[in-house]
Amino acid sequence: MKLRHYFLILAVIGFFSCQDETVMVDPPPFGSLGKGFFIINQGNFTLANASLSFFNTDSAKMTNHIFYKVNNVPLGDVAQSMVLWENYGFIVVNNSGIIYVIDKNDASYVGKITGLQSPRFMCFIHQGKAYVSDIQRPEIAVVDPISFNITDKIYTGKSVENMVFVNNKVFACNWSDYYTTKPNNTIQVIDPEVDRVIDSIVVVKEPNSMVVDSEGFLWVLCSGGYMNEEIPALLRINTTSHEIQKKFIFPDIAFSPNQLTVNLTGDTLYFINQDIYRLSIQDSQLPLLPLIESENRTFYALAIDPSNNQIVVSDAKNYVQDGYIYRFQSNGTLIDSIKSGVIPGQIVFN
Amino acid sequence: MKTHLKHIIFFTAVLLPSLFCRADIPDTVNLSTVEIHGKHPAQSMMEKQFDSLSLAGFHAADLGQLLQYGSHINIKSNGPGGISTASFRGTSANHTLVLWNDIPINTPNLGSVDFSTIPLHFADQIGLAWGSQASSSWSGGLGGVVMMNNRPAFDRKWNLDVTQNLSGFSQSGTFATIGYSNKIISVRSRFFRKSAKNDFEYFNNGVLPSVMMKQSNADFTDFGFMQEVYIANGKNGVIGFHSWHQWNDHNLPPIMTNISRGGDPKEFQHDKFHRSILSYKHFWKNGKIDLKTSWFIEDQHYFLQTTSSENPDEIVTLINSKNHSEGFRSMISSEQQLKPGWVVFGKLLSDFERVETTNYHSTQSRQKLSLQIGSRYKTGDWLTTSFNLRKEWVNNKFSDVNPAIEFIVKPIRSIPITIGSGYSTNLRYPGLNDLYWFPGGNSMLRPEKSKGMDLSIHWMPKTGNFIHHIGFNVFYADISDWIQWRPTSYRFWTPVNIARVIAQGVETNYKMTGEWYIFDIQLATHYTYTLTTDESPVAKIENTSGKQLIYVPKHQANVLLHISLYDNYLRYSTAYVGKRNASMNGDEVLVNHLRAYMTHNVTVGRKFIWLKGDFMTEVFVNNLFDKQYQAVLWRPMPGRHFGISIRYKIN
Repeated sequence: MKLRHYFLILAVIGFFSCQDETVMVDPPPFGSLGKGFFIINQGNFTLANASLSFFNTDSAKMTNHIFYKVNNVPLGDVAQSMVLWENYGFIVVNNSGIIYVIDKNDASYVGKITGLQSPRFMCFIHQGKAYVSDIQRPEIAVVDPISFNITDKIYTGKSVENMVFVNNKVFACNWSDYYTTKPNNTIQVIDPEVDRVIDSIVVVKEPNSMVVDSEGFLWVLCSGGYMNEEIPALLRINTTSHEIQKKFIFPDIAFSPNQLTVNLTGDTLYFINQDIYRLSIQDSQLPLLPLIESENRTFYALAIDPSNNQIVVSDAKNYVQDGYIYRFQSNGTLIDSIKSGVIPGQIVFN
Repeated sequence: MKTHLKHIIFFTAVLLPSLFCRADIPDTVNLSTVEIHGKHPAQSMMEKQFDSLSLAGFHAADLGQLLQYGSHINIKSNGPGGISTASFRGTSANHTLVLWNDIPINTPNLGSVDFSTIPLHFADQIGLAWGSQASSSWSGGLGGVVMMNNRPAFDRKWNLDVTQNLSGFSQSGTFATIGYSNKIISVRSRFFRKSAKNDFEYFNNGVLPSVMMKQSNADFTDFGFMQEVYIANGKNGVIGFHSWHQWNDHNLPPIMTNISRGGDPKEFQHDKFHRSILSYKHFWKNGKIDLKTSWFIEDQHYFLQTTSSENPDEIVTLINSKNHSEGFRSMISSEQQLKPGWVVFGKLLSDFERVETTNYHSTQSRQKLSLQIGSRYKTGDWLTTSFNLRKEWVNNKFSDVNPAIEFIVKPIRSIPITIGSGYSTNLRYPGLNDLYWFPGGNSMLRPEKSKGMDLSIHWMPKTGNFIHHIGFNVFYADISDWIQWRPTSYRFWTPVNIARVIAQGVETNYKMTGEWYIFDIQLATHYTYTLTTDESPVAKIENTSGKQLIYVPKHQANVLLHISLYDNYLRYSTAYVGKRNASMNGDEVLVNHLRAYMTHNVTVGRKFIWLKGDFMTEVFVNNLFDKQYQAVLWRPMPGRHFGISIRYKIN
């Protein structure tokens, strides 16, 4: 082979290898998303690969990376939760310290709330007020969901996770002990009229999720701690007296139940404890058998379709690759499954 | 006990012959790096030494920059002042072993090296080894080995070398060496200080609205000095002492998507290390022995603090992670030519490492002992065969014997073509963080094992005034028990021996040196095609089998061109890095893939004679075409920036 042949080959290789292999084009307009649910894919911490998916229940089609496709920027670093309020969707992006506000009908960018450190959940009080919890701050940010400004802070003394607004009070889980030495086994009660903590209810370590049933009771699911320090429990709390009226103890300290969910009529509770379990609010004990077995899937987020009681659950797989969404009939029969994003962590019906 | 006795006998039997086969004719001369063009097959085709012109061109740069523009190695840079890691042939950064004067500088806890903190000013020689040559070193270089060496220079009297660099974003670098040597002693002190504000502008497409903004909290200061003392012990021995001390203070900028975080975060990493090596080298007729012992101390301090917006004195988040590690490493290596063309060699390596950190339950340590023996046999002018066997003992456990073999053939006497082929095996023991990090460390981890094959063809024709060096390599490596950190349902990550990675590809390189009219020209190019996939049963279940591993470009190329005319010169360098996966998921969106990029740098310089020394002035522009790119997802890189450099050197 002569030298000039070598140069020719090198030049050809160089020419082809120097082409940009990914051509990013302007995002196509999506128009109305229709009826269905959003999936908030958390992504991996510091990799900023969070994403938003939307599943249209009429067409049974999933659109992944919809936030990126519509707005041409990534969602950010660890999308923790989403709340719908009127025409808007508020997506809390934890490690980016930001809440993106989108039009819930087409996922287009409307605005953002900044100045937050490590926001986790958002809870709406009324038209002009919402609370934002923060895993790294001993306080709750009070925000104006119209102007997207932080208007006040409520000192809680420790970090707050999930929040529920019921009976004109906000019940806030003290779930994390990552950045504090204070105990993470309480539910704080906040009076939104004065934006002040008025009570603290001792439950079990790591209260991770709460729902309100048809009778106005607050149900709290506690995992017992990520190092299995306490036995997990499901508790029913009176929202007026703040008394614990029922306490269901799980049979094994190694269990880690989470994702407590309630159906639209508020009479049936669901949760994940590796498998999916269901119980009536009238039951006197925890269910012994699961409704849906995980079968090597990593069930991660759970929701009940308010229109037909279908069970929607995510599979986080190995937490690095794209997860999946499974839909089941209310009796546990599989309807379909479809790919979403990395760690699908919350399902929100539109 | 019986098994241990068997191993002790094995160690003794294979090491002793090479240590005791000795005669008494002195032979030691230290020369600057030169390139040899000859008819004899090389000792190995699986190593490379950078020539002095390349080293001079990157004199004020870091090791990562030299490798990016002058080798097949893939450099993953987090931006100026950020961590820069190197990986060979589709392996990970942890699979790149870095030796300073034959002693590993990979940290015991992480196992990797930050190449951005290694100043080339502190090196006299830079070499690379892979395949069977990497296997004949310390274990761990599954991808390859980067060798950084200092060499004594006797009888040169006083010498001085000072460089001052200034460039955009308030970057400043001062590098100085002063030395004295006579026929008996050589003393040299090197110093550097490098700092930058790194407040460059970039287009942030990671947030809404996407706008131009300035990089923040990315300033750094690195400072270090190195002391060398060499004493000639007669004509055939040298005692050496090397001591390298460095302080790296880096603020850590947020990634592009996280610039809105509140809490006034203060985030930095302050590292310091002290590395000392005592050595003795003795030569005799057809043989040598090399004794080295070292003590390395490293301190890493990561700090993150946020404060309350209402009360700036109230600390809300505080991570104050401190790691202290020590390594006590020693080696004895010996080589003896038994008869013309036949050399036997042996090596005994000892490594004790200890890590004390707030991130483990308790202080952890590990002891490794490695024994190697080998032989190299040359048959006439046309064939060289070498083999190497290594057995290791780690915390009371013996490894299997790891063999490596290489053949080099020069098939036709009249044509300067050399063909080489090799097979090698290697091991990498998990880092102590992999084993003991809390939470998540997995003390049950097994070492990663590699089996690799290489085929190389080198052709060195001469045309007119030019000498060409054309190389073509094909490689294949099968790495089992590859360690991956994976998230668990308990919200922390844990390492597991889960992957079986096949890394394969092709490397080509072309180098040309010569004269064209009144110009002296040197051109060096590299191109690498790498395919690295996980073929484990788990990957098949997870549907990631066959997908390129993250941050491994399939295509990579670079060009270095140096043209000089009398005392003037022009240096041009360019590097192309192909598209890389940022995740194993396939959707063609920015969060899953990083686009290919190409950077171009140009330097123009002139050399004067001033006060009996060489005085060099340079003007340079980096990222000539102002390319906006990311080498690591959401880590911005600087655009076009200019600089000047002044160097004065007297021997």
